[in-house]
Amino acid sequence: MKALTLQALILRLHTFWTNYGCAMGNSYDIETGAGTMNPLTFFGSLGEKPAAWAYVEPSRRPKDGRYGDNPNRLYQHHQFQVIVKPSPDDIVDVYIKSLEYIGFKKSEHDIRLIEDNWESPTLGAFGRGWEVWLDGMEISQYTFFQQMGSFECRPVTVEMTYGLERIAMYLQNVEDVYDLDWNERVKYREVFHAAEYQQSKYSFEAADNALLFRHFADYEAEALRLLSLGLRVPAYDYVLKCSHTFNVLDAKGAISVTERAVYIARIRNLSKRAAELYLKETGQLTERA
Amino acid sequence: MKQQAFVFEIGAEEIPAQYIGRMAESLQEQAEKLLAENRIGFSGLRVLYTPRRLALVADALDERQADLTEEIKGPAKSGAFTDDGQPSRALSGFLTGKGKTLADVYYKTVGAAAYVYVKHHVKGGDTADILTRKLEGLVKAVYVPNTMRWGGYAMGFIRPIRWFMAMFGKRALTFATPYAKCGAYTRGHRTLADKRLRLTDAGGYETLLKEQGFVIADPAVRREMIVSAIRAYERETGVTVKAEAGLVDEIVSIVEYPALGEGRFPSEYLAMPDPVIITPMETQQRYFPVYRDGKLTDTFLFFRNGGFDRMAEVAHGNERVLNARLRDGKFFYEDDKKTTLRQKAEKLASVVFQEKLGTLREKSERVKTAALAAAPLMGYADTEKIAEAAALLKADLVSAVVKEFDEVQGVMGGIYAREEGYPADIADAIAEQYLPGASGGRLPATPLGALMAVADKLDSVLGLIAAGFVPTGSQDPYALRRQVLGILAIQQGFSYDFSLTELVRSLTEPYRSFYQKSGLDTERFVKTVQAFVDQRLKGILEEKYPYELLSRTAVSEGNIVDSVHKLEAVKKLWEAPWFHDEYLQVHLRMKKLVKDRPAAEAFDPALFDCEDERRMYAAFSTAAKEAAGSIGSRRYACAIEQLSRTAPAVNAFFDNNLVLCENERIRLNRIRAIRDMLTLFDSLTNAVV
Repeated sequence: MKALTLQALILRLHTFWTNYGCAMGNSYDIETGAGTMNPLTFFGSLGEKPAAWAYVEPSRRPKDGRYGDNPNRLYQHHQFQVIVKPSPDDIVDVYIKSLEYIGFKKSEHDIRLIEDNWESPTLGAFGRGWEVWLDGMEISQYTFFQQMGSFECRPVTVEMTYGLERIAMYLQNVEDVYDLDWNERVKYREVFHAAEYQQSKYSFEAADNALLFRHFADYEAEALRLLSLGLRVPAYDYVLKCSHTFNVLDAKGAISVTERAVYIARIRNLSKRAAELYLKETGQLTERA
Repeated sequence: MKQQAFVFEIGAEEIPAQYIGRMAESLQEQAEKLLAENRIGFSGLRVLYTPRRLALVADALDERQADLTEEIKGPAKSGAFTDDGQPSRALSGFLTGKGKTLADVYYKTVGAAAYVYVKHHVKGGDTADILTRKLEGLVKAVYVPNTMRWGGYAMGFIRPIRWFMAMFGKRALTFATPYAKCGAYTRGHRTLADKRLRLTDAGGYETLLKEQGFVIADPAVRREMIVSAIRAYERETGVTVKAEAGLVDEIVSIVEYPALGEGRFPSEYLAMPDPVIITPMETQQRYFPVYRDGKLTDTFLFFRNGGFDRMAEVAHGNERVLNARLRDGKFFYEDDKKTTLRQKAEKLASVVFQEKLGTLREKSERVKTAALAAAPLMGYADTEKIAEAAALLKADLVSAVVKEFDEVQGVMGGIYAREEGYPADIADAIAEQYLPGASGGRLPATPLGALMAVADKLDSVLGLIAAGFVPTGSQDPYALRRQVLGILAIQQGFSYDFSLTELVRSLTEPYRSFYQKSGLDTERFVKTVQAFVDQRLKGILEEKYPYELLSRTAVSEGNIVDSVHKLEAVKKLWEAPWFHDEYLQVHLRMKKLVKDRPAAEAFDPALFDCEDERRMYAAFSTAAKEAAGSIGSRRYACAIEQLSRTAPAVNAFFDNNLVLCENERIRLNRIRAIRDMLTLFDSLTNAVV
């Protein structure tokens, strides 16, 4: 079989998981650091209502920017995100089947699940799970959410995140992410190299700290105002904006270690209130003293 | 009693390597408890495990529970019958309740009163039935260090449980829980034999898994496979493989079927210092570095989870990953070389060591102070070297390599120092500052390294205790216990004969503002540190010496080297009859006499009023002079022997005279004289009153 292009890989994952029963979602249109932050997952993993989604999430990590020089690290990589709630008993087996579906015959590779307990302090979330190793390479994060938005997850949502660039690099046997075939004609370099350079330049050098601090304060105030109006959806958009603004400031080195914890706590407070509103709205929050 | 083999398997998704050993121990303990409580005899009980299963295996379990005869206590005999001799309401109620008749009754006296008793005989149940009912409870009783939930189930475990399998002889034990069923089926290896496997006989468990499941259930066997594969590779290729026991253990716990693979990386990376290469190999990728003639080669070994199919492809995948990591490492290393250690050290002023204790620059200053204070005690004289080592000690903490791999802190600093042409002792001291890394770990090899290692740990202990982080129970976020143990290990290793607690007392100044903020005065601060140090010291000694010996030895406060000297002396003399019958005996006699009788002033030999007393004093004067010499040169066994020679004279005086006589002046004088002897005895041994 000819190696999958990046877009063919995405298509196959979509085919596999929609056949499994997931709804096909879309990337969110506000900057996120991971597929988990997409409202489909954040709100979807709260409460009892079953959920099953699959979507690609461009994930911005300003600190990981390398000016397009590093063959492995990116300002923005792409995750293929799958969530299923409640987590099915055989979900690990299903995941392994998905690897076969994209071209990794399981008997020909070394597949291992290595302990990795995930947490997101800004989302007030943590889970237990693994890194999935394929021939020594981490290709996925696998997490059973125990808490989201500071609320306990009952039932538990399972999240599977495929690192698309890494998997494609392995399938296509290329050593440099920019050499990936996007499709038969377009290379990854053409699509993203300039963006990687410029976003790195922005995050590490050009970002206007004063403006960003101002924005952070405004976004936070707006989130709080919207929360007080009971509008958790737009409020959560502002939580995401706070989070990304914080990430840029952090990459720029504008936030000291002690301040860092304070900013994280401020964002966590917002996500908790958005989660609380969602649970109330759907009648799933029993008032507790 | 007829017996059958037994196996109970908990099948789970991949259990984290760091916990599985502890969980296996807990399952063993809980199973022993369960069987004992249920009166089921067993032999050859053990727990096997792989990342996907914990299996309780017994060579033999009794087929039936042992019968039980219980005595059941009823009402008091006095209230058991009415005046006309009929059973009282209390007695008949008791008998009805227990299904017994008057003929079953007998009496036993408990305390002052006699009570009605009946015997109840319970026939032992069927082991298979009992286990079927109790096995889920056993699973829940297993200690889970870090529990999680999955699906919509209330159950918590280390990772989701997928199946249970239980077999007693040839009989499957079946039960169901909301999250998993139990029966005759286990499962094979996730990728090589991903199917249900039916077990027909409990004794065939390991064989079934091995032959049809690609699973080696016994961790000891997997370990042996790993070690012998490495040894065979060494023999065939003439290389040496660095196989740290911890890494081997981890691999044992992350594979069900170990298969050795070999990979290579571009040899250009060999130009980098070894730690930059082998750290990502070992800690991130779980690979084994390969050496030829003592030099690192471009080859590494890895263990795949089963199967040799397409090994070249698997090896290629692993090579790609390592390659990427080494490329990163090279980038970090080259970045580090753009600045000198001294330039890096300047940045320490803006790196926080601990919020309350300031920056790393400030820590380095305190470490220098501590090192200067400890230097005379450790026989080190070159204060300029101390200052230089202290200034550069923490510089590598701002290097890119250490930021990426924190486990090479110190080591990289040493390498950079050497590359920049610093003297070898400075480079070694930087490299050795964190030693010993673990209990029983390698010690610093150089005097300056030992000094800086002690000073750095001492500063952390003093600073963090001053800031209020006294470890309690399992709470020891800064690993202060390990730091103190490290200092004591260095003292022992180098025979640095000084009291750590006295050193602490002389070193309070740099920590005053911290402990005052925590609401401690100097005395309380020193006391807290001393108690903390003494507990560790006691712990070490308790591991090495039996309680009886320890309780009889006068351990030197805060000084492990001197304490060990004394303990060794007592140990050596322990079997000698005179040590107990004469020496300790006399020590105890004097102690009893002087006990609680303070007598501060000096005694006056002129007041000795009998020959026995004068003789005793003469014997003591001679012995004391000799013993002082022996004590000065730490020959404690000798000192004890010399003091024991006073025994006949002391005993004669005590036996033939009323020591605590009527005349107060003479009495007090005697106490004072004996007190002075006692002080010497007390410095060597404890008289247990």
